[in-house]
Amino acid sequence: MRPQTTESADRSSGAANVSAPAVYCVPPVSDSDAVIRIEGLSVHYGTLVAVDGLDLELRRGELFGLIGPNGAGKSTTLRVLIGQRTPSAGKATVLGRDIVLEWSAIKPHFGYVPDRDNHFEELSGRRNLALFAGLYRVDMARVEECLRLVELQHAADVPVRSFSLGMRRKLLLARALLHKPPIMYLDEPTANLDVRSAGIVHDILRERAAEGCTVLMTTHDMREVEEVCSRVAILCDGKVVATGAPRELSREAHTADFRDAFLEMTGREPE
Amino acid sequence: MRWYILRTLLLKELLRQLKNRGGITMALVIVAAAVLASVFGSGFTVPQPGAASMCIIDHWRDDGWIAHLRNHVPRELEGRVRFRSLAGYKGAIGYPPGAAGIQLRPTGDESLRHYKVSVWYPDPDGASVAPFETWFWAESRRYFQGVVGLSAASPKDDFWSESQRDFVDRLRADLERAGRSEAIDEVPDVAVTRSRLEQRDLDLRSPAAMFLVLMALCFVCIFLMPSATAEERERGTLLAQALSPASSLEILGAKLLFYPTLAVVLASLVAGICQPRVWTSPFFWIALGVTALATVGIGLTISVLARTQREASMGALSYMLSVALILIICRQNDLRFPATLMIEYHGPSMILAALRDAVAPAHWGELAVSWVLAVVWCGLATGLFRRFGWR
Repeated sequence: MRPQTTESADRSSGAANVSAPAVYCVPPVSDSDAVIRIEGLSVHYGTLVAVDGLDLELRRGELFGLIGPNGAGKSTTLRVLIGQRTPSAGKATVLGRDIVLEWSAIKPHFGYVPDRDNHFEELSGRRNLALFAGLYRVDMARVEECLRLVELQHAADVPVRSFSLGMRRKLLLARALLHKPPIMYLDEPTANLDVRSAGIVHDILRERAAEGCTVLMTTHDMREVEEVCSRVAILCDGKVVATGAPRELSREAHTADFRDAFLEMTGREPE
Repeated sequence: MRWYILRTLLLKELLRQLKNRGGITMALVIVAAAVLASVFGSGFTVPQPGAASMCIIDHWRDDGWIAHLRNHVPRELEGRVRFRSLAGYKGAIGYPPGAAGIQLRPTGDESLRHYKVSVWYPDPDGASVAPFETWFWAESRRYFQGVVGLSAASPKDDFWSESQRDFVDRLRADLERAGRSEAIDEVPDVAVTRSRLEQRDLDLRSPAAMFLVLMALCFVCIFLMPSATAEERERGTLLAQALSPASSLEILGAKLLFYPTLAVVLASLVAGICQPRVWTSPFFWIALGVTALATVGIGLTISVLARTQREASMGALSYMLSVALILIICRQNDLRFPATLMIEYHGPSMILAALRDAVAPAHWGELAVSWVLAVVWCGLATGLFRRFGWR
């Protein structure tokens, strides 16, 4: 099956069906604004097709949500974008550069928050950030600033192994922010965070987007999507079933809120 | 290679290892073992004035001569004479420091009357073995007098003035005096050699130091490094580093700098504790560096192929056991070529030679082969790491 392109999505607009994932309208993106462009991306794990002909374009300063049920291909798409996984077919460009061929040139320009924390557990939070500051050639003042942003100054000298899950995620965000990247990939950035901490993360992301940073995040929290994301793509079985602003998608699906729209578009309960 | 990145990655490795209690404990145990070996192990023996501490009678055939000697050890030498059967033994013969040795080796296939007696003494002039030789030759003469049917002379004869070289001649002269020329053929032919024991062969400190040096290298490069790298991959910290501006080559470079350096520091410390003068040997440093580099190449290859820390540990253990097994098989079957392809074959030989201050041209040849092995292993590890390392 061919991937859903902008044109085909436009043609099939309004053909929502609960049993089969529907295709909703995709607002066009001008070439000049595209920071991340994914064309016909497919990723296979043996016989399993994790991503099937994905097409996406993300603009500068956009806070883009990649959502979908478990196993829809969100994390795999992120893995391709960070260079951890080679596409089986199709291509992706970031800042106009091919992610496979020019990965080394791209990687200093993005920050990444993985779905599970990957800190040096035996070292303190401050030392963890300082090490990455050394790699990015960022001074210690920025380390302190990032710790303050995520409200971790008080625990900065404690080994990370003593951190709670929420603190670990905030430290991941602080690390991703260190070098003020123009692109940020976040895999469920607010998982395990309390309401206040999630609010802090949302504020940071909005602020970064306002500064022109392109943010691509995955999440299972539909309220978060409505509050934070300017645009979303809903993935189901490796394919895009809808893209657009959350409110527009709710309107298109004739549902009261985005959660119901998501349910209708994916034909299953959100996680 | 960017220095600021390399410096940060080296600092990261150092901080991680400083926080690793298991690694520090193991390193301390190796150093403590070296201290114990140097304090309690036998070192280079100093020539001792006076008598040898003991005398070992090595024999290849438990015949009447040996039985006679065993039954006639005088009271003053009791506990200081040891009989050791070497029948069928083909390896090197060693003696404890300060001990003398008398080897009683039958020559010729069938005859019981051809012997080679080798006297080994630990001191420069052989005086230390005199009490044992006095007893040995006097009792030997008594035994053969009995064999040829002469009346036994008293063991208190002034034997030492005769010297052992007269042993056979005097026996023959005794037979002629007794009018028993026909029995002269029964007098044994005894060839006697006297040599000073090479003190280095007595030294146990060098092999102990060699073992500890190798243990330090294997511990750091084949066990610690793969384990730490696999842990980084398992936890995702290797991915985090790879996504930073650090290139695969820089991440690898930091590991190839840090772990061999740590191994060389630990190994040289251990070697220096056991044998301080080895620090002045350029060959020791070159051999140690090359062995460490080859070993870290092996360790890095294991760490790239292992997906988890457990796999890395099991892989390292399997590798070491396999190599030990192959080396044993090669040694037992005299297969030299497969063994020469292993750094574990050349490393001990080179380091032992350096510790004993006995570096021969053959060891420089081994160094050249080791260098090739180090390049091959590091090249393989680099290729694998760049392709699969952080993924």
